[in-house]
Amino acid sequence: MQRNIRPKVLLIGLTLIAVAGGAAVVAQTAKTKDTKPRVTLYEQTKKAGGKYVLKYKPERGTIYPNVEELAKRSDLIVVGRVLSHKANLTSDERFITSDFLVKVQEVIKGESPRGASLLVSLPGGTHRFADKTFAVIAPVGFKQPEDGGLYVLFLKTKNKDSAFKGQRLVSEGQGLFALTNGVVEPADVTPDDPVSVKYRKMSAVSFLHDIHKAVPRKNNK
Amino acid sequence: MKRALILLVLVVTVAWLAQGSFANDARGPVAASDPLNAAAPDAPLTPQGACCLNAGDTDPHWECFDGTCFQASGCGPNVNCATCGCSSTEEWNCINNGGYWDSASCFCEYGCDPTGSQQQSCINNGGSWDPFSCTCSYYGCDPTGSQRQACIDAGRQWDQNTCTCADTSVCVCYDPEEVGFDQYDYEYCDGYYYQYCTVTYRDYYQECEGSCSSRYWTEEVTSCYSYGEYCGGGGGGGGGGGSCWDTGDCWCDDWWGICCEYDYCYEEEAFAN
Repeated sequence: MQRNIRPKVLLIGLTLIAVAGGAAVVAQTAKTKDTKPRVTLYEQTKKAGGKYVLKYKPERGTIYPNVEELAKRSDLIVVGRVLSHKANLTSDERFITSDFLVKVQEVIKGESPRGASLLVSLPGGTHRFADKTFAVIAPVGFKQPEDGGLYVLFLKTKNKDSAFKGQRLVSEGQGLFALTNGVVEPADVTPDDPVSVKYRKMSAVSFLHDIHKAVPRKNNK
Repeated sequence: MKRALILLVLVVTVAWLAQGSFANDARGPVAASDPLNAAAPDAPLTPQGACCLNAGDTDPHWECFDGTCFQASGCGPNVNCATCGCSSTEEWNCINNGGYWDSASCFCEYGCDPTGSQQQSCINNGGSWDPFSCTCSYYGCDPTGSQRQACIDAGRQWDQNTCTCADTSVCVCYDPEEVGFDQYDYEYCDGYYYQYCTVTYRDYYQECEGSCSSRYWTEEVTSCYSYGEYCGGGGGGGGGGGSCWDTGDCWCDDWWGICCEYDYCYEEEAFAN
């Protein structure tokens, strides 16, 4: 009889400990949420003494092996020239984006008016606050576009709730390629990235050919 | 008599031979045969898939090259000729020259200024022509074009060289004046090399008389240099205390010295005055 009771007591004890532990975690989380305010970049900058530099690593949770896979996941693929850019503090004041005005020269996938300009937002940039304090978000392992440069951009539809002003790349690391002097220069400078390895220094002609192969051709008008 | 008979036989034989020869010469030209004995373009492929290693491959097979579909010998997968598309070379030439490429019609359109007349007119008038946006900018006195617009809206003639409006000056602006200057230096490791950067902010003020209001704007220029000092590899930076500054989906990794929140991942690099 004794032998039967002991495991039951042990089980009940363990259950109670688990419930109490879970409750404590939930309470702690709630407490954290209540007590920790959302800290803005300005506050971080002030805390840092007036100049604040943050390195930003592009999100690489998903790595695509080639442009076929990138193309499948993109809502819009364009070739365009960067006309100008401007760094902006996001509306939540916790991040800086560089917003690039891109003149579309070809729409490979998706819909965009002919000759229109797109606003594309990429992470990173600098911001001077009103009191002359200064914050930088420096992208790491990623080469930002240059004004006047020609680029292939793999984009996704803008999320209504996004703090970013413009459209974003389908993959922060892999969705941008410069076409410089007729050859491809991926914005991702990670040496072992499969897309970078495959397309770096490829001729622009072959690269465009590969992208078109990956995107079902639109019917002729 | 015997000799005459032999002669007759000979004459008939010669005549018969001659006729046969003319008949051959009278035939028409040889029908044009397919070069290299190739199949007609619309001829169905006769796949010999059994000879190919990979399932679905055929010998010969159809391939795309630079916008055209052609039959290639050897084993290989068949492409859909309908999706071969346009010539990538033409496409690149178009894009590289500032044109708009329509990959549905394989047509290049040098939309806004195909003859270059707008560009010439812009330059002649002291403007700066942007061939990519096809816009003419008069940075000297009307950087945003607002004065020009105001002038036109007032029904007057805008002179872009002097930034004046017809007879009466609706809007006359003086040269922009630099009223503020800030420069910041910072450095960071881009994952491989140290980058030394300078950001310059120049604030401008332009006073205008007339119906235009004065203007204030800032120009920002960032430049970064690397001297090839290697700083990357082997496990990230020193780390910034490892505490999340926010709630929600925030996590930190002390080993990597990185904090992520939603889509944002930060690595604290430097605090400097």
